[in-house]
Amino acid sequence: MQDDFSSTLSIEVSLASPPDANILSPFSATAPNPRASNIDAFHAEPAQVDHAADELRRLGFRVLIGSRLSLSVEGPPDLFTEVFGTELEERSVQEEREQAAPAIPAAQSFLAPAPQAAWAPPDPLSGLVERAYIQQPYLFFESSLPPRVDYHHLRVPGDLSLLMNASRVHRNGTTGRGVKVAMIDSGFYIQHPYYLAMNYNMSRILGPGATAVEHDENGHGSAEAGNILAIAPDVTFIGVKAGPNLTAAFKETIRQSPDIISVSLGFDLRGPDGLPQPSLPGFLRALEAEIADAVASGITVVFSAGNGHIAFPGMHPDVISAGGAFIDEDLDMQASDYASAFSSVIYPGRNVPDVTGLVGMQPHASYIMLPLEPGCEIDQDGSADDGTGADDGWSVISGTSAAAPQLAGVCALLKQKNPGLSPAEIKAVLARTARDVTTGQANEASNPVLVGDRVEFIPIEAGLAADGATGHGLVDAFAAWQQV
Amino acid sequence: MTDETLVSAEVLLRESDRAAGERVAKMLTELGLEVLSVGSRSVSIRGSKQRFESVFGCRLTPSERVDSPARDFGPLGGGGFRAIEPPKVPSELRDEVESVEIQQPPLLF
Repeated sequence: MQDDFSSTLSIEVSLASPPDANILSPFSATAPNPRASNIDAFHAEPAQVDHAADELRRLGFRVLIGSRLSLSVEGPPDLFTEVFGTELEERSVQEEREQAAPAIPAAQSFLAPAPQAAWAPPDPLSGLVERAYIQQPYLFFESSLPPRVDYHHLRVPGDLSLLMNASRVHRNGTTGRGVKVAMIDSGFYIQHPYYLAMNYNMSRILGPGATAVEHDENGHGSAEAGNILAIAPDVTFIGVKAGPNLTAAFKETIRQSPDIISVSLGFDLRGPDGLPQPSLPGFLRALEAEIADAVASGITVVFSAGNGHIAFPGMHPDVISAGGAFIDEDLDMQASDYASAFSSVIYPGRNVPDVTGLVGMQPHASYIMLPLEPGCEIDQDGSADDGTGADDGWSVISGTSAAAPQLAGVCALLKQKNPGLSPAEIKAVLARTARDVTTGQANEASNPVLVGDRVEFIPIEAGLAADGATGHGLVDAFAAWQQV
Repeated sequence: MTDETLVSAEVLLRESDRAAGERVAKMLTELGLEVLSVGSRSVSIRGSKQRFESVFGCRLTPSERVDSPARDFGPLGGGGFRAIEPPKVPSELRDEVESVEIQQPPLLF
Protein backbone atom coordinates (compact mmCIF):
# COMPACT_ATOMS: atom_id res chain seq x y z
CA MET A 1 0.00 0.00 0.00
CA GLN A 2 3.05 2.25 -0.10
CA ASP A 3 2.92 4.32 -3.27
CA ASP A 4 6.10 6.08 -4.31
CA PHE A 5 5.91 9.65 -3.03
CA SER A 6 9.67 10.27 -2.84
CA SER A 7 11.32 9.36 -6.13
CA THR A 8 8.62 10.89 -8.32
CA LEU A 9 6.76 13.98 -7.24
CA SER A 10 3.17 14.68 -8.16
CA ILE A 11 2.81 18.40 -8.72
CA GLU A 12 -0.23 20.54 -9.28
CA VAL A 13 0.73 23.65 -11.25
CA SER A 14 -1.63 26.63 -11.06
CA LEU A 15 -1.72 28.86 -14.09
CA ALA A 16 -0.87 32.54 -13.79
CA SER A 17 -3.23 35.29 -14.76
CA PRO A 18 -1.77 37.58 -17.43
CA PRO A 19 -2.16 41.20 -16.31
CA ASP A 20 -4.30 42.15 -19.30
CA ALA A 21 -6.49 39.03 -19.30
CA ASN A 22 -9.02 39.93 -16.61
CA ILE A 23 -8.77 36.42 -15.15
CA LEU A 24 -9.11 35.91 -11.39
CA SER A 25 -6.36 34.19 -9.43
CA PRO A 26 -7.44 31.79 -6.65
CA PHE A 27 -4.36 33.01 -4.76
CA SER A 28 -5.34 36.67 -4.85
CA ALA A 29 -6.31 38.12 -1.51
CA THR A 30 -9.10 40.10 -3.15
CA ALA A 31 -10.56 37.36 -5.35
CA PRO A 32 -13.60 35.38 -4.15
CA ASN A 33 -13.28 31.70 -3.45
CA PRO A 34 -13.90 29.62 -6.58
CA ARG A 35 -17.50 28.38 -6.71
CA ALA A 36 -19.68 26.94 -9.42
CA SER A 37 -21.28 30.35 -9.82
CA ASN A 38 -18.01 32.20 -10.52
CA ILE A 39 -15.57 29.57 -11.73
CA ASP A 40 -15.66 30.83 -15.33
CA ALA A 41 -13.82 33.95 -14.13
CA PHE A 42 -10.85 31.76 -13.07
CA HIS A 43 -10.48 29.94 -16.40
CA ALA A 44 -7.26 30.51 -18.32
CA GLU A 45 -7.29 30.73 -22.09
CA PRO A 46 -6.71 27.35 -23.78
CA ALA A 47 -3.66 28.75 -25.57
CA GLN A 48 -2.09 29.62 -22.22
CA VAL A 49 -2.76 26.12 -20.91
CA ASP A 50 -1.07 24.63 -23.96
CA HIS A 51 1.86 27.03 -23.72
CA ALA A 52 2.46 26.26 -20.05
CA ALA A 53 2.25 22.54 -20.71
CA ASP A 54 4.77 22.81 -23.55
CA GLU A 55 7.22 24.74 -21.37
CA LEU A 56 6.91 22.26 -18.51
CA ARG A 57 7.54 19.38 -20.91
CA ARG A 58 10.57 21.18 -22.33
CA LEU A 59 11.96 21.58 -18.80
CA GLY A 60 11.64 17.82 -18.27
CA PHE A 61 8.32 17.36 -16.48
CA ARG A 62 5.73 14.80 -17.54
CA VAL A 63 2.36 16.45 -18.06
CA LEU A 64 -0.39 14.06 -16.98
CA ILE A 65 -3.46 16.14 -17.65
CA GLY A 66 -4.47 19.78 -17.88
CA SER A 67 -7.55 21.90 -17.44
CA ARG A 68 -8.22 25.62 -17.67
CA LEU A 69 -7.40 25.88 -13.96
CA SER A 70 -4.22 23.85 -13.47
CA LEU A 71 -1.84 21.26 -14.88
CA SER A 72 -1.06 17.95 -13.17
CA VAL A 73 2.58 17.04 -13.77
CA GLU A 74 5.19 14.63 -12.47
CA GLY A 75 8.93 14.90 -12.08
CA PRO A 76 11.89 13.89 -9.93
CA PRO A 77 12.78 15.93 -6.82
CA ASP A 78 16.04 17.22 -8.32
CA LEU A 79 14.20 18.69 -11.29
CA PHE A 80 11.66 20.41 -9.06
CA THR A 81 14.46 21.90 -6.93
CA GLU A 82 16.36 23.10 -9.97
CA VAL A 83 13.41 24.56 -11.89
CA PHE A 84 11.66 26.28 -9.01
CA GLY A 85 14.80 27.26 -7.11
CA THR A 86 13.68 25.79 -3.82
CA GLU A 87 14.88 23.17 -1.36
CA LEU A 88 12.89 20.11 -0.34
CA GLU A 89 12.75 18.32 2.99
CA GLU A 90 11.29 14.96 3.99
CA ARG A 91 8.27 15.10 6.25
CA SER A 92 6.56 12.35 8.22
CA VAL A 93 2.89 11.79 7.59
CA GLN A 94 2.51 10.47 11.14
CA GLU A 95 3.84 13.67 12.72
CA GLU A 96 1.60 15.81 10.57
CA ARG A 97 -1.44 13.68 11.45
CA GLU A 98 -1.06 13.62 15.23
CA GLN A 99 -4.51 13.26 16.84
CA ALA A 100 -6.21 13.12 13.45
CA ALA A 101 -9.16 10.90 12.48
CA PRO A 102 -8.40 7.23 11.70
CA ALA A 103 -6.95 6.83 8.24
CA ILE A 104 -4.29 4.90 6.37
CA PRO A 105 -1.82 7.15 4.49
CA ALA A 106 -0.71 6.05 1.04
CA ALA A 107 2.90 6.65 2.16
CA GLN A 108 4.59 7.26 5.49
CA SER A 109 6.65 10.27 4.33
CA PHE A 110 6.75 12.78 1.51
CA LEU A 111 8.92 15.60 0.17
CA ALA A 112 7.86 19.23 0.39
CA PRO A 113 9.55 22.65 0.29
CA ALA A 114 10.90 23.73 3.65
CA PRO A 115 8.85 26.44 5.38
CA GLN A 116 9.78 29.86 4.03
CA ALA A 117 11.97 28.27 1.34
CA ALA A 118 12.92 30.42 -1.63
CA TRP A 119 10.69 30.21 -4.71
CA ALA A 120 11.97 31.34 -8.08
CA PRO A 121 10.30 29.98 -11.22
CA PRO A 122 12.51 30.32 -14.30
CA ASP A 123 11.90 32.84 -17.07
CA PRO A 124 10.19 30.40 -19.47
CA LEU A 125 7.40 29.93 -16.92
CA SER A 126 7.11 33.57 -15.99
CA GLY A 127 3.59 34.78 -16.63
CA LEU A 128 2.42 31.23 -17.23
CA VAL A 129 2.68 29.56 -13.82
CA GLU A 130 1.64 31.12 -10.54
CA ARG A 131 2.24 28.30 -8.06
CA ALA A 132 3.43 24.68 -8.08
CA TYR A 133 2.36 22.46 -5.17
CA ILE A 134 3.83 19.05 -4.46
CA GLN A 135 0.95 16.74 -3.64
CA GLN A 136 1.00 15.01 -0.25
CA PRO A 137 0.10 11.33 0.23
CA TYR A 138 -3.63 10.86 0.19
CA LEU A 139 -5.41 9.01 2.96
CA PHE A 140 -7.58 5.95 2.90
CA PHE A 141 -10.21 6.72 5.47
CA GLU A 142 -11.04 3.69 7.55
CA SER A 143 -14.74 3.13 7.69
CA SER A 144 -17.07 1.17 9.90
CA LEU A 145 -19.31 0.84 6.85
CA PRO A 146 -18.32 -1.60 4.11
CA PRO A 147 -18.04 -0.57 0.47
CA ARG A 148 -20.89 -1.36 -1.90
CA VAL A 149 -20.52 -4.20 -4.39
CA ASP A 150 -22.98 -5.00 -7.13
CA TYR A 151 -23.67 -8.70 -6.56
CA HIS A 152 -25.53 -10.78 -4.00
CA HIS A 153 -23.63 -10.96 -0.75
CA LEU A 154 -24.26 -10.89 2.99
CA ARG A 155 -23.33 -8.12 5.39
CA VAL A 156 -22.42 -8.43 9.06
CA PRO A 157 -23.98 -8.42 11.48
CA GLY A 158 -27.55 -8.18 10.19
CA ASP A 159 -27.73 -10.55 7.24
CA LEU A 160 -25.83 -13.33 8.99
CA SER A 161 -27.81 -13.00 12.18
CA LEU A 162 -31.08 -13.06 10.25
CA LEU A 163 -30.28 -16.04 8.03
CA MET A 164 -28.85 -18.11 10.86
CA ASN A 165 -32.05 -17.27 12.78
CA ALA A 166 -30.02 -15.73 15.60
CA SER A 167 -31.87 -12.41 15.59
CA ARG A 168 -34.90 -14.03 17.21
CA VAL A 169 -32.63 -15.41 19.92
CA HIS A 170 -31.23 -11.94 20.53
CA ARG A 171 -34.78 -10.56 20.83
CA ASN A 172 -35.30 -13.06 23.63
CA GLY A 173 -32.35 -11.65 25.53
CA THR A 174 -29.70 -14.22 24.68
CA THR A 175 -26.66 -12.68 23.03
CA GLY A 176 -23.79 -14.83 24.30
CA ARG A 177 -23.13 -12.71 27.39
CA GLY A 178 -20.85 -14.40 29.88
CA VAL A 179 -19.68 -17.06 27.41
CA LYS A 180 -15.98 -17.11 26.54
CA VAL A 181 -15.21 -17.94 22.92
CA ALA A 182 -11.61 -18.34 21.75
CA MET A 183 -10.62 -18.32 18.10
CA ILE A 184 -7.25 -19.43 16.71
CA ASP A 185 -6.24 -17.75 13.49
CA SER A 186 -3.80 -15.50 11.62
CA GLY A 187 -4.29 -12.49 13.89
CA PHE A 188 -6.99 -10.09 14.97
CA TYR A 189 -7.20 -6.45 13.90
CA ILE A 190 -9.68 -5.58 16.62
CA GLN A 191 -9.01 -1.88 16.18
CA HIS A 192 -10.95 -1.95 12.89
CA PRO A 193 -13.55 0.86 12.93
CA TYR A 194 -16.30 -1.71 12.44
CA TYR A 195 -15.31 -3.63 15.56
CA LEU A 196 -14.82 -0.42 17.52
CA ALA A 197 -18.20 0.89 16.41
CA MET A 198 -19.90 -2.36 17.42
CA ASN A 199 -18.29 -2.11 20.87
CA TYR A 200 -17.68 -5.85 21.05
CA ASN A 201 -15.88 -7.38 24.03
CA MET A 202 -12.73 -8.44 22.15
CA SER A 203 -9.18 -9.20 23.22
CA ARG A 204 -6.27 -10.97 21.59
CA ILE A 205 -3.10 -12.77 22.61
CA LEU A 206 -0.06 -14.20 20.88
CA GLY A 207 0.09 -17.94 20.45
CA PRO A 208 3.48 -19.61 20.88
CA GLY A 209 5.88 -18.51 18.17
CA ALA A 210 3.68 -15.71 16.84
CA THR A 211 4.65 -12.04 16.90
CA ALA A 212 3.10 -8.58 16.43
CA VAL A 213 -0.19 -9.08 18.24
CA GLU A 214 -1.59 -5.77 17.00
CA HIS A 215 -1.40 -6.83 13.34
CA ASP A 216 -3.03 -9.42 11.14
CA GLU A 217 -0.78 -9.48 8.11
CA ASN A 218 -2.95 -12.03 6.32
CA GLY A 219 -6.37 -10.76 7.40
CA HIS A 220 -8.06 -14.15 7.75
CA GLY A 221 -8.64 -14.10 11.50
CA SER A 222 -9.77 -10.49 11.63
CA ALA A 223 -12.38 -11.21 9.00
CA GLU A 224 -13.67 -14.53 10.29
CA ALA A 225 -14.07 -13.18 13.82
CA GLY A 226 -16.90 -11.06 12.44
CA ASN A 227 -18.94 -14.24 11.95
CA ILE A 228 -18.92 -15.18 15.63
CA LEU A 229 -19.82 -11.70 16.76
CA ALA A 230 -22.65 -11.33 14.26
CA ILE A 231 -24.30 -14.38 15.82
CA ALA A 232 -23.34 -13.84 19.46
CA PRO A 233 -22.52 -10.14 19.90
CA ASP A 234 -21.96 -10.16 23.66
CA VAL A 235 -19.53 -13.06 24.01
CA THR A 236 -16.16 -12.53 25.61
CA PHE A 237 -14.00 -12.98 22.54
CA ILE A 238 -10.34 -14.00 22.76
CA GLY A 239 -8.34 -14.14 19.53
CA VAL A 240 -5.22 -16.29 19.61
CA LYS A 241 -2.76 -15.36 16.90
CA ALA A 242 -1.15 -18.62 15.84
CA GLY A 243 2.38 -19.31 14.75
CA PRO A 244 3.07 -22.17 12.35
CA ASN A 245 2.48 -24.80 15.06
CA LEU A 246 -1.28 -25.24 15.47
CA THR A 247 -0.85 -27.74 18.29
CA ALA A 248 1.05 -25.19 20.35
CA ALA A 249 -1.60 -22.55 19.63
CA PHE A 250 -4.35 -24.98 20.64
CA LYS A 251 -2.64 -25.74 23.94
CA GLU A 252 -2.27 -22.04 24.66
CA THR A 253 -5.94 -21.53 23.84
CA ILE A 254 -7.03 -24.20 26.32
CA ARG A 255 -5.13 -22.30 28.98
CA GLN A 256 -7.49 -19.37 28.46
CA SER A 257 -10.31 -21.59 29.84
CA PRO A 258 -12.77 -20.91 27.03
CA ASP A 259 -16.24 -22.41 26.81
CA ILE A 260 -15.94 -22.69 23.03
CA ILE A 261 -13.01 -22.86 20.61
CA SER A 262 -13.46 -22.01 16.94
CA VAL A 263 -10.76 -22.85 14.41
CA SER A 264 -10.92 -22.10 10.69
CA LEU A 265 -7.58 -23.76 9.92
CA GLY A 266 -6.58 -27.29 9.12
CA PHE A 267 -4.61 -29.74 7.04
CA ASP A 268 -5.43 -31.43 3.75
CA LEU A 269 -4.80 -35.15 4.38
CA ARG A 270 -4.41 -36.00 0.71
CA GLY A 271 -1.57 -38.29 -0.23
CA PRO A 272 0.82 -37.79 -3.15
CA ASP A 273 -1.47 -40.10 -5.16
CA GLY A 274 -4.34 -37.66 -4.65
CA LEU A 275 -6.28 -40.07 -2.45
CA PRO A 276 -7.10 -39.69 1.27
CA GLN A 277 -4.24 -40.61 3.56
CA PRO A 278 -5.08 -43.92 5.32
CA SER A 279 -3.85 -42.90 8.77
CA LEU A 280 -3.22 -39.76 10.74
CA PRO A 281 0.29 -38.40 10.17
CA GLY A 282 2.49 -38.47 13.26
CA PHE A 283 2.80 -34.72 13.40
CA LEU A 284 -0.94 -34.42 14.10
CA ARG A 285 -1.18 -37.01 16.87
CA ALA A 286 -0.51 -34.48 19.62
CA LEU A 287 -3.18 -32.17 18.25
CA GLU A 288 -5.63 -35.06 17.99
CA ALA A 289 -5.08 -35.83 21.68
CA GLU A 290 -5.29 -32.17 22.77
CA ILE A 291 -8.64 -31.77 21.00
CA ALA A 292 -9.98 -34.91 22.68
CA ASP A 293 -8.73 -33.59 26.02
CA ALA A 294 -10.42 -30.23 25.47
CA VAL A 295 -13.77 -31.77 24.58
CA ALA A 296 -13.52 -34.21 27.50
CA SER A 297 -13.05 -31.23 29.80
CA GLY A 298 -16.29 -29.65 28.53
CA ILE A 299 -14.99 -27.27 25.87
CA THR A 300 -17.05 -27.25 22.69
CA VAL A 301 -14.64 -27.29 19.73
CA VAL A 302 -15.70 -26.26 16.22
CA PHE A 303 -13.49 -26.80 13.17
CA SER A 304 -14.00 -25.96 9.51
CA ALA A 305 -14.74 -28.99 7.31
CA GLY A 306 -12.50 -27.62 4.55
CA ASN A 307 -13.05 -26.13 1.10
CA GLY A 308 -12.52 -29.26 -0.95
CA HIS A 309 -9.88 -30.38 1.55
CA ILE A 310 -9.89 -33.76 3.22
CA ALA A 311 -9.63 -31.77 6.35
CA PHE A 312 -8.20 -32.57 9.73
CA PRO A 313 -9.16 -31.61 12.44
CA GLY A 314 -12.46 -31.06 10.64
CA MET A 315 -12.82 -34.87 10.58
CA HIS A 316 -11.94 -35.36 14.27
CA PRO A 317 -14.93 -37.22 15.76
CA ASP A 318 -15.10 -35.01 18.84
CA VAL A 319 -15.38 -31.66 17.05
CA ILE A 320 -18.39 -30.02 15.46
CA SER A 321 -17.45 -30.14 11.81
CA ALA A 322 -18.70 -27.03 10.00
CA GLY A 323 -19.72 -27.41 6.36
CA GLY A 324 -21.45 -25.01 4.00
CA ALA A 325 -24.90 -24.10 2.68
CA PHE A 326 -25.61 -21.19 0.34
CA ILE A 327 -28.70 -18.99 0.39
CA ASP A 328 -29.25 -16.91 -2.73
CA GLU A 329 -31.05 -13.57 -3.16
CA ASP A 330 -34.40 -15.39 -3.49
CA LEU A 331 -33.70 -17.17 -0.20
CA ASP A 332 -33.36 -20.51 -1.98
CA MET A 333 -30.95 -22.80 -0.18
CA GLN A 334 -28.51 -25.36 -1.55
CA ALA A 335 -25.32 -27.12 -0.53
CA SER A 336 -22.24 -24.98 -1.12
CA ASP A 337 -20.10 -26.47 -3.87
CA TYR A 338 -17.13 -24.76 -2.19
CA ALA A 339 -17.39 -26.66 1.11
CA SER A 340 -15.99 -30.13 1.83
CA ALA A 341 -18.01 -33.27 2.39
CA PHE A 342 -16.47 -36.71 2.75
CA SER A 343 -16.39 -39.89 4.77
CA SER A 344 -13.22 -40.14 6.81
CA VAL A 345 -10.92 -43.06 6.07
CA ILE A 346 -9.02 -42.41 9.28
CA TYR A 347 -12.10 -42.44 11.52
CA PRO A 348 -14.46 -45.08 10.07
CA GLY A 349 -18.09 -44.00 10.25
CA ARG A 350 -17.19 -40.33 10.59
CA ASN A 351 -18.99 -38.24 7.97
CA VAL A 352 -17.97 -34.63 7.41
CA PRO A 353 -19.67 -32.19 7.99
CA ASP A 354 -22.00 -32.47 10.98
CA VAL A 355 -23.98 -29.34 10.14
CA THR A 356 -23.42 -26.23 8.07
CA GLY A 357 -23.10 -22.50 8.29
CA LEU A 358 -23.40 -20.01 5.44
CA VAL A 359 -20.76 -20.39 2.72
CA GLY A 360 -20.52 -19.01 -0.82
CA MET A 361 -20.22 -20.85 -4.09
CA GLN A 362 -17.35 -21.53 -6.46
CA PRO A 363 -15.18 -20.14 -7.86
CA HIS A 364 -14.25 -17.69 -5.07
CA ALA A 365 -17.00 -18.05 -2.46
CA SER A 366 -17.24 -14.24 -2.38
CA TYR A 367 -20.24 -14.13 -0.09
CA ILE A 368 -19.79 -12.32 3.21
CA MET A 369 -18.45 -8.75 3.50
CA LEU A 370 -16.02 -8.85 6.41
CA PRO A 371 -13.62 -6.38 8.06
CA LEU A 372 -9.86 -6.90 8.08
CA GLU A 373 -6.62 -4.94 8.38
CA PRO A 374 -6.41 -2.43 5.50
CA GLY A 375 -3.84 -3.49 2.95
CA CYS A 376 -3.34 -6.98 4.38
CA GLU A 377 -2.82 -9.95 2.04
CA ILE A 378 -6.48 -10.88 1.64
CA ASP A 379 -7.52 -7.23 1.24
CA GLN A 380 -5.02 -6.82 -1.59
CA ASP A 381 -5.38 -10.21 -3.26
CA GLY A 382 -9.16 -10.37 -2.98
CA SER A 383 -9.80 -6.99 -4.52
CA ALA A 384 -9.27 -8.42 -8.00
CA ASP A 385 -12.37 -10.60 -7.62
CA ASP A 386 -14.63 -9.18 -4.94
CA GLY A 387 -15.15 -5.57 -6.02
CA THR A 388 -13.65 -4.01 -2.88
CA GLY A 389 -10.53 -1.84 -2.73
CA ALA A 390 -7.06 -3.26 -2.11
CA ASP A 391 -6.58 -1.06 0.95
CA ASP A 392 -10.08 -0.42 2.22
CA GLY A 393 -10.13 -2.88 5.10
CA TRP A 394 -12.98 -4.98 3.70
CA SER A 395 -13.18 -8.20 1.69
CA VAL A 396 -16.01 -10.41 0.50
CA ILE A 397 -14.95 -13.93 1.44
CA SER A 398 -16.34 -17.07 3.05
CA GLY A 399 -15.48 -20.77 2.80
CA THR A 400 -16.00 -23.07 5.76
CA SER A 401 -13.70 -20.63 7.56
CA ALA A 402 -16.83 -18.54 7.91
CA ALA A 403 -19.07 -21.45 8.84
CA ALA A 404 -17.05 -22.57 11.88
CA PRO A 405 -17.25 -19.23 13.71
CA GLN A 406 -20.93 -18.88 12.81
CA LEU A 407 -21.59 -22.22 14.48
CA ALA A 408 -19.36 -21.26 17.41
CA GLY A 409 -21.56 -18.19 17.84
CA VAL A 410 -24.68 -20.36 17.95
CA CYS A 411 -22.98 -22.66 20.48
CA ALA A 412 -22.36 -19.57 22.64
CA LEU A 413 -26.05 -18.67 22.55
CA LEU A 414 -26.93 -22.16 23.72
CA LYS A 415 -24.28 -22.09 26.44
CA GLN A 416 -25.59 -18.81 27.79
CA LYS A 417 -29.10 -20.23 28.10
CA ASN A 418 -27.94 -23.53 29.54
CA PRO A 419 -24.35 -23.39 30.84
CA GLY A 420 -24.43 -27.06 31.78
CA LEU A 421 -24.65 -28.31 28.20
CA SER A 422 -21.89 -30.73 27.25
CA PRO A 423 -20.16 -30.55 23.85
CA ALA A 424 -22.00 -33.71 22.78
CA GLU A 425 -25.35 -32.25 23.82
CA ILE A 426 -24.66 -29.07 21.87
CA LYS A 427 -23.68 -31.04 18.79
CA ALA A 428 -26.81 -33.15 19.10
CA VAL A 429 -29.20 -30.23 19.42
CA LEU A 430 -27.61 -28.41 16.47
CA ALA A 431 -28.12 -31.54 14.36
CA ARG A 432 -31.64 -32.18 15.61
CA THR A 433 -32.89 -28.68 14.84
CA ALA A 434 -30.97 -27.88 11.64
CA ARG A 435 -32.83 -26.92 8.48
CA ASP A 436 -32.70 -29.64 5.86
CA VAL A 437 -30.72 -28.69 2.76
CA THR A 438 -32.12 -30.80 -0.05
CA THR A 439 -30.40 -29.61 -3.22
CA GLY A 440 -26.92 -28.95 -4.52
CA GLN A 441 -23.68 -30.78 -4.00
CA ALA A 442 -20.53 -30.31 -1.95
CA ASN A 443 -17.07 -29.61 -3.33
CA GLU A 444 -16.14 -32.68 -5.33
CA ALA A 445 -12.45 -32.11 -4.61
CA SER A 446 -13.02 -33.43 -1.08
CA ASN A 447 -14.12 -36.85 -2.37
CA PRO A 448 -11.42 -38.34 -4.59
CA VAL A 449 -12.08 -41.92 -5.61
CA LEU A 450 -9.89 -44.39 -7.48
CA VAL A 451 -11.70 -45.50 -10.64
CA GLY A 452 -9.60 -48.06 -12.47
CA ASP A 453 -6.16 -46.48 -12.36
CA ARG A 454 -7.38 -42.89 -12.27
CA VAL A 455 -8.41 -40.59 -9.45
CA GLU A 456 -11.84 -39.13 -10.07
CA PHE A 457 -13.73 -36.61 -8.00
CA ILE A 458 -17.25 -37.71 -7.11
CA PRO A 459 -19.47 -34.92 -5.76
CA ILE A 460 -21.60 -35.76 -2.76
CA GLU A 461 -25.20 -34.64 -3.24
CA ALA A 462 -27.61 -33.07 -0.80
CA GLY A 463 -30.99 -34.72 -0.38
CA LEU A 464 -33.93 -35.19 1.93
CA ALA A 465 -33.03 -35.63 5.62
CA ALA A 466 -29.42 -36.01 6.73
CA ASP A 467 -27.02 -36.30 3.81
CA GLY A 468 -23.33 -36.41 3.07
CA ALA A 469 -23.12 -32.92 1.56
CA THR A 470 -24.48 -30.86 4.44
CA GLY A 471 -24.81 -33.32 7.30
CA HIS A 472 -27.98 -32.44 9.17
CA GLY A 473 -28.30 -29.14 7.32
CA LEU A 474 -28.06 -25.42 8.03
CA VAL A 475 -27.99 -24.59 11.72
CA ASP A 476 -31.09 -22.80 13.04
CA ALA A 477 -30.06 -20.79 16.10
CA PHE A 478 -33.61 -20.12 17.30
CA ALA A 479 -34.82 -23.69 16.90
CA ALA A 480 -31.76 -24.96 18.79
CA TRP A 481 -32.12 -22.29 21.48
CA GLN A 482 -35.73 -23.30 22.08
CA GLN A 483 -34.68 -26.87 22.83
CA VAL A 484 -32.02 -26.26 25.47
CA MET B 1 4.16 -12.61 11.47
CA THR B 2 6.37 -15.60 12.20
CA ASP B 3 9.94 -16.54 11.47
CA GLU B 4 9.69 -18.92 8.54
CA THR B 5 13.29 -20.13 8.81
CA LEU B 6 12.63 -21.85 12.14
CA VAL B 7 11.55 -25.47 12.50
CA SER B 8 8.56 -26.22 14.76
CA ALA B 9 8.00 -29.59 16.37
CA GLU B 10 5.93 -31.42 18.94
CA VAL B 11 7.83 -33.67 21.31
CA LEU B 12 5.35 -36.39 22.26
CA LEU B 13 5.55 -37.75 25.79
CA ARG B 14 5.22 -41.47 26.52
CA GLU B 15 2.63 -40.79 29.21
CA SER B 16 0.30 -37.92 29.93
CA ASP B 17 2.29 -36.26 32.70
CA ARG B 18 2.73 -32.55 33.20
CA ALA B 19 5.80 -33.00 35.43
CA ALA B 20 7.45 -35.14 32.76
CA GLY B 21 6.69 -32.41 30.25
CA GLU B 22 8.47 -29.86 32.43
CA ARG B 23 11.52 -32.12 32.81
CA VAL B 24 11.67 -32.73 29.07
CA ALA B 25 11.27 -29.01 28.40
CA LYS B 26 14.23 -28.23 30.64
CA MET B 27 16.43 -30.75 28.84
CA LEU B 28 15.38 -29.47 25.43
CA THR B 29 16.25 -25.93 26.49
CA GLU B 30 19.68 -27.16 27.56
CA LEU B 31 20.06 -28.69 24.11
CA GLY B 32 19.60 -25.22 22.59
CA LEU B 33 15.97 -25.43 21.51
CA GLU B 34 13.28 -22.90 22.32
CA VAL B 35 10.34 -24.29 24.28
CA LEU B 36 7.10 -22.64 23.18
CA SER B 37 4.59 -24.53 25.26
CA VAL B 38 4.48 -27.42 27.72
CA GLY B 39 1.45 -29.65 27.86
CA SER B 40 0.63 -32.89 29.60
CA ARG B 41 0.98 -34.84 26.36
CA SER B 42 3.58 -32.95 24.38
CA VAL B 43 6.11 -30.15 24.43
CA SER B 44 6.10 -27.58 21.61
CA ILE B 45 9.55 -26.49 20.50
CA ARG B 46 11.28 -24.62 17.74
CA GLY B 47 14.81 -23.96 16.61
CA SER B 48 17.02 -23.46 13.61
CA LYS B 49 17.24 -26.20 10.99
CA GLN B 50 20.88 -26.77 11.88
CA ARG B 51 20.13 -27.13 15.60
CA PHE B 52 17.30 -29.58 14.91
CA GLU B 53 19.40 -31.73 12.64
CA SER B 54 22.18 -31.76 15.19
CA VAL B 55 20.05 -32.54 18.26
CA PHE B 56 17.76 -35.10 16.65
CA GLY B 57 20.13 -36.64 14.09
CA CYS B 58 17.74 -35.96 11.24
CA ARG B 59 17.79 -34.31 7.83
CA LEU B 60 15.20 -31.68 7.00
CA THR B 61 14.15 -30.00 3.79
CA PRO B 62 11.61 -27.29 3.09
CA SER B 63 8.27 -28.99 2.56
CA GLU B 64 6.40 -28.67 -0.69
CA ARG B 65 2.65 -28.65 -0.79
CA VAL B 66 0.94 -31.63 -2.39
CA ASP B 67 -1.07 -30.55 -5.43
CA SER B 68 -4.65 -30.14 -4.34
CA PRO B 69 -7.80 -28.96 -6.08
CA ALA B 70 -9.05 -27.55 -2.75
CA ARG B 71 -9.33 -23.80 -2.14
CA ASP B 72 -7.71 -21.93 0.75
CA PHE B 73 -5.75 -18.82 1.69
CA GLY B 74 -2.46 -20.71 1.88
CA PRO B 75 -0.36 -21.93 4.80
CA LEU B 76 -0.13 -19.87 7.95
CA GLY B 77 3.40 -18.61 8.50
CA GLY B 78 5.20 -20.06 5.50
CA GLY B 79 6.00 -23.44 4.09
CA GLY B 80 7.52 -25.40 6.96
CA PHE B 81 9.89 -28.37 6.81
CA ARG B 82 9.63 -32.11 6.34
CA ALA B 83 12.04 -34.80 7.42
CA ILE B 84 14.09 -36.67 4.81
CA GLU B 85 15.51 -38.70 7.68
CA PRO B 86 13.14 -38.72 10.67
CA PRO B 87 14.15 -37.22 14.00
CA LYS B 88 15.59 -39.64 16.57
CA VAL B 89 14.94 -39.15 20.25
CA PRO B 90 18.23 -38.34 22.05
CA SER B 91 19.24 -41.01 24.56
CA GLU B 92 18.79 -38.73 27.57
CA LEU B 93 15.12 -38.19 26.62
CA ARG B 94 14.15 -41.73 25.63
CA ASP B 95 12.61 -42.70 28.95
CA GLU B 96 10.01 -39.97 28.70
CA VAL B 97 9.75 -39.07 25.00
CA GLU B 98 8.01 -41.26 22.47
CA SER B 99 8.74 -39.31 19.31
CA VAL B 100 9.57 -35.91 17.82
CA GLU B 101 7.16 -34.74 15.13
CA ILE B 102 8.05 -31.90 12.78
CA GLN B 103 5.04 -29.59 12.43
CA GLN B 104 3.56 -28.39 9.18
CA PRO B 105 1.85 -25.00 9.08
CA PRO B 106 -1.96 -25.23 8.90
CA LEU B 107 -3.91 -23.97 5.92
CA LEU B 108 -6.21 -21.01 6.23
CA PHE B 109 -9.61 -22.30 5.10
